[in-house]
Amino acid sequence: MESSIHTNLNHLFRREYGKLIASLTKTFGTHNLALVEDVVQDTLLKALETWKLKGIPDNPSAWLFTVARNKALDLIRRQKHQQAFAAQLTPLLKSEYTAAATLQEIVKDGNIEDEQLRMMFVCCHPLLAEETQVALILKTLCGFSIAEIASAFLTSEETISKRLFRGREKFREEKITFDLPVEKELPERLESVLTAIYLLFNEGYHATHVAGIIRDDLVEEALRLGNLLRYNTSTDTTATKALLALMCFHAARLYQRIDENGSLLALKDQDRTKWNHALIVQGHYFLKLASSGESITAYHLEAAIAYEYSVAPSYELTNWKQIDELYKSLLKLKPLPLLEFQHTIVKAECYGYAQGLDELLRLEASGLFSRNHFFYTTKGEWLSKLNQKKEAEESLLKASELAHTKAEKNFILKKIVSLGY
Amino acid sequence: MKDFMLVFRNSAQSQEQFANQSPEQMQSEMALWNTWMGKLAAQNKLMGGEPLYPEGKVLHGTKKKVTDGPYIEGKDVVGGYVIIKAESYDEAVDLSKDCPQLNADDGTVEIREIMKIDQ
Repeated sequence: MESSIHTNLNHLFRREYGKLIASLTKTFGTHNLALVEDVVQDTLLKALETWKLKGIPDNPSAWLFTVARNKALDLIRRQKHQQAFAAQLTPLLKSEYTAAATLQEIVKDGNIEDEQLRMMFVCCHPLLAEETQVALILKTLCGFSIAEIASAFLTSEETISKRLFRGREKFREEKITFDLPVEKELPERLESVLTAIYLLFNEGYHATHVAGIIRDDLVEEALRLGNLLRYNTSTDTTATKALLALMCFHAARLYQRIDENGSLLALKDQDRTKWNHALIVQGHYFLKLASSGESITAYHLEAAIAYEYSVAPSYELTNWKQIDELYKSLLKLKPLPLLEFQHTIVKAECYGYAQGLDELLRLEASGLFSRNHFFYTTKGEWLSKLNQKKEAEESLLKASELAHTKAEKNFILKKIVSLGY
Repeated sequence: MKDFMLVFRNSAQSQEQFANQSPEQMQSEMALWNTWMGKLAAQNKLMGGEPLYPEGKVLHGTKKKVTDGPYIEGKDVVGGYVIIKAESYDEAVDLSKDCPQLNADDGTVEIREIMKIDQ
């Protein structure tokens, strides 16, 4: 019971953290992000102390905003002679006549979608490295702790702190304003936002190394941020909808990818009745909306591929021919070796494992997959299907050496055992 | 976008009543002003403003005669001003309609476009 209250509070705080940061950053300006984070941290601490004694108020969100607003007003009164705030608001905040009024209507609960959208574009500013962008999003919009971000990215807390620090520095040095990009720059800027969201999603989707809760939260947050882009017509493009469709289709299978022992479950071994069908329906809806425009992005094609997988009644009855065609188009847009490898898997289902293996050997010669355990697992499986058991075992052993996690190693070892060799 | 100055006036009598309100009344009056101004600020339409004390001094013409003012000549007193941004007089009038200054019958909001001087 105690811990469930704690989990609820944790979730509430995480969600409110992002809203508070966005509306306070609008007031203080991005150059004051560290200050803003302090105000929010103080507010949540005060909530924790007060609510422990008096219980959670009926409208916790409004409570938090009132406390944050008062803290912000105190801070502005103390620092108005040394500090510049958000450019347009600075004169208003420096006058006692207008300061309280301005804060009252800007730092308040309710429609924060616009502020969060701006925050997203600020975090994905092209002057920031991709890894910094994602760390900033997780910290400021999703309310992840530094420890949580570090564990999501298999890196140290120190590394994450440094990335966040560099991000805040850039905001200050480059005078990045809390605005949506101008129309001319929007398509390019939106692309980096979509990339960051997809990265975040993949980090959650493929992460077998982090605790279940963080993994689920990453996927959930990626979907939430994607949905935020729909609030503004200029960011609600067909590419946005295609990415949302893609994430829905993948997320629908999230819980079936790992069995009760924490081992990875291959697509053909997953119980399709346990996929989240509500998410598949939602994905379908987004894909339909995404198809209304003229442009076809990689997200469209990846979503269409994921759609084919999600509607197949069984692994064997998957429309492999259609997926093969979609991969051909996708590779024209994104000629990535990893996609080529995935395409090879599809081709093996279409044209047989012998042909698949030929392609695989060609990819292996490129040397790009020498550290990829999925690659060697696949190669081992196909060799085994083609009755080359000795070579199959070699390949699987190599895969198990390369695997990062216990779940992955178990998955591969099971395959070696089933060779019966 | 153009800049407009909104000048708040009412009778000297109302001004005096306002100054003599109870703290509670004063606070609820302030809340009305904060909501109205805050909404303009949230739309990036409030540029600034200040309230004024009712008493003052007035200098007159070349003789620079000083009188207590400002209500020697007119019965209306300026209580404060704000500067807002609006596309047109129509919008400026619309934005001013909810101003708490108009909650009293003798309260007025005078709307004047700020002249932009070319260099």
